[in-house]
Amino acid sequence: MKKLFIALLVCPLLLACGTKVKRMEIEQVKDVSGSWNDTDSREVAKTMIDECLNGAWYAKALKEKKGADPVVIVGTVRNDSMEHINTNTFIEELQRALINSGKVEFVASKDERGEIREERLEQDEYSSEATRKAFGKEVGADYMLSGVLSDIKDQEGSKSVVFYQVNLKLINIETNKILWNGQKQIKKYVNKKAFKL
Amino acid sequence: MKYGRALAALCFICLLCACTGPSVRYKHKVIGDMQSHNFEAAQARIKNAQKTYGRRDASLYYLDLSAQQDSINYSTNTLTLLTEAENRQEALYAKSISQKMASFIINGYTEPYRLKYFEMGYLFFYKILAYLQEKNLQDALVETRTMVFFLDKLRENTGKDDPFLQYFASQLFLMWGAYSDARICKENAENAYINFADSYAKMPAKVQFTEEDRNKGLLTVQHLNGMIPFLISQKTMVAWNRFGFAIGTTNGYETVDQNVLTAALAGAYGDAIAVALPKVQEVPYEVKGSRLLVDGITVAETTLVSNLTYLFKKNFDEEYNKILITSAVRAATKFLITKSAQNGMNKKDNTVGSITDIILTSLFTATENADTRSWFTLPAQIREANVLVEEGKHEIKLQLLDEDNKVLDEHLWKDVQINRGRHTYLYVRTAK
Repeated sequence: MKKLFIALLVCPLLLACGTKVKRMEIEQVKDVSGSWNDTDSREVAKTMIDECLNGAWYAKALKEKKGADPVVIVGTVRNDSMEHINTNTFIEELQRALINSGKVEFVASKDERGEIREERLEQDEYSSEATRKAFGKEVGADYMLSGVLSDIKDQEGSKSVVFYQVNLKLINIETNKILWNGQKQIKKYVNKKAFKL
Repeated sequence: MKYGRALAALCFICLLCACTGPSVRYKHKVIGDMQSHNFEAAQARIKNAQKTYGRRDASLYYLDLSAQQDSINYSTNTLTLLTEAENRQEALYAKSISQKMASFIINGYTEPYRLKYFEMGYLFFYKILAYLQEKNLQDALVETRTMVFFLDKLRENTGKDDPFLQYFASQLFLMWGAYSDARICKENAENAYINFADSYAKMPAKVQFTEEDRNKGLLTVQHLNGMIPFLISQKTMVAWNRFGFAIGTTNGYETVDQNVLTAALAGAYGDAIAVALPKVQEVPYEVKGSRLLVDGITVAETTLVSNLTYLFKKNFDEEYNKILITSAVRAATKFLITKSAQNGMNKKDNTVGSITDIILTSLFTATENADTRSWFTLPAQIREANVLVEEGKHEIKLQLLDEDNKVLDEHLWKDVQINRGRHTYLYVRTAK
């Protein structure tokens, strides 16, 4: 009886040590370490989309292109911070919003292009003449979207303030003129627990 | 019944003795594998010993597993192992009060191992090397910034710095075109090298570019040589009774069984205090230098840029007083607990009191172990050579030299692509 009682007490404790997984809403904010996370990425994407879609650059671009939709290519978004941050998450979101707005056209980036060109080469050899895609018909981009993510960290013991700044630019490939410069700043105060029981 | 309890206590001692991390013998075996350049065997041995590290010291397990690979046998798994080790260290930020308290009763192993400042610095260094191997300069620079931030905070808070890591960071910033950061790191490196003058490590001479060198690229070969010292536990036992007293010292090479026997004897002897203190154990290495050859022609000798043995010993000397005080407090605590328990039991029955004394003295002697944990697969030193090499593919060879400049062994990199105006990094790990 005594042994059974101990076993009953120990079992829940052992079960409590297992991995727990809880599904969360995408929009739910959950900061764990204070490092860059999905919420920061989403905030950057939201600000950039708003700034980009409502910016005065579009009218200028239409004028430059004589009414045709501007064609954009995604360039490098440099990570100048102290954290390994995947900048693709907010860039992809911005790209998706711009395409869906119908205002801008995108062409495949440098990395994506290589694979497509390879596919065209293979089509040239293996596909029927009717379905084969020809070379030399790619659309050249008018503007390049590039940017930089930087941070400033001030730390003293267990307390730190981290400041992130994301700058995205639309640059005219022909003239090097910067047509649009979007910015998002995020500041966090992190106080780590110095002791535990 | 009494015998049964004593036996149970001894079993308990055995269990506690087993929780002291990797043994000295194990370390010697891994070092032996690495010295014979059999990294695969060393890796397999470390993997087999994962349980001895336990979850508590998983970061050391990942570090030992990752650090013995070189650029010839580089595996993409290295980065995963190093990142895992770093994450485990970050999770240790909050110190556990209960674990700290336990360290005053049992031993230092109750607390998870926190990397020493120089070990943390070299964790960043290894991660940067891994990113460079993957030709991922952007992430190598992210890691460099983290390392520099860590060193800056270290300097602010403790006045310590690492000259080589600062110099290495300056080279990487220069590669990326971050000239201000490169200049600051170089200045920090110069100052730190002055402070570490007695380590014999020096900042490599600046490579001078001339008009004739416009078709050349910079080649840096880093030679990670030897094995860093590690710690062994030296236990001193002072036992006395009404006939006299005895002092016994063990040398840290005892097996678990021998430790249990010592503990049982200590208990049987009567009043005894055991104090275990760590002692530095150096690992001799034959290779004392190296020579760089490009396409069969000697172009440079490597110079000592980082002396990790010096850093290890310096850090140990700095920490020794703290270790001494902790050990003394622990010995006193254990003695007081034993005597209080014995006196309490004596009130009921003198025989039970004596048995309690024997059991507790045995238990506390057996659990008394110096904390000998460290990242023991780190090299003893880092040597470096920087040369300008014509653009194109080259055969790069590093000859390993003994004290008399006799060639002991060599490493070959075939078809190394050198690009004009670019910086190429190669590294090799030797332990012979």
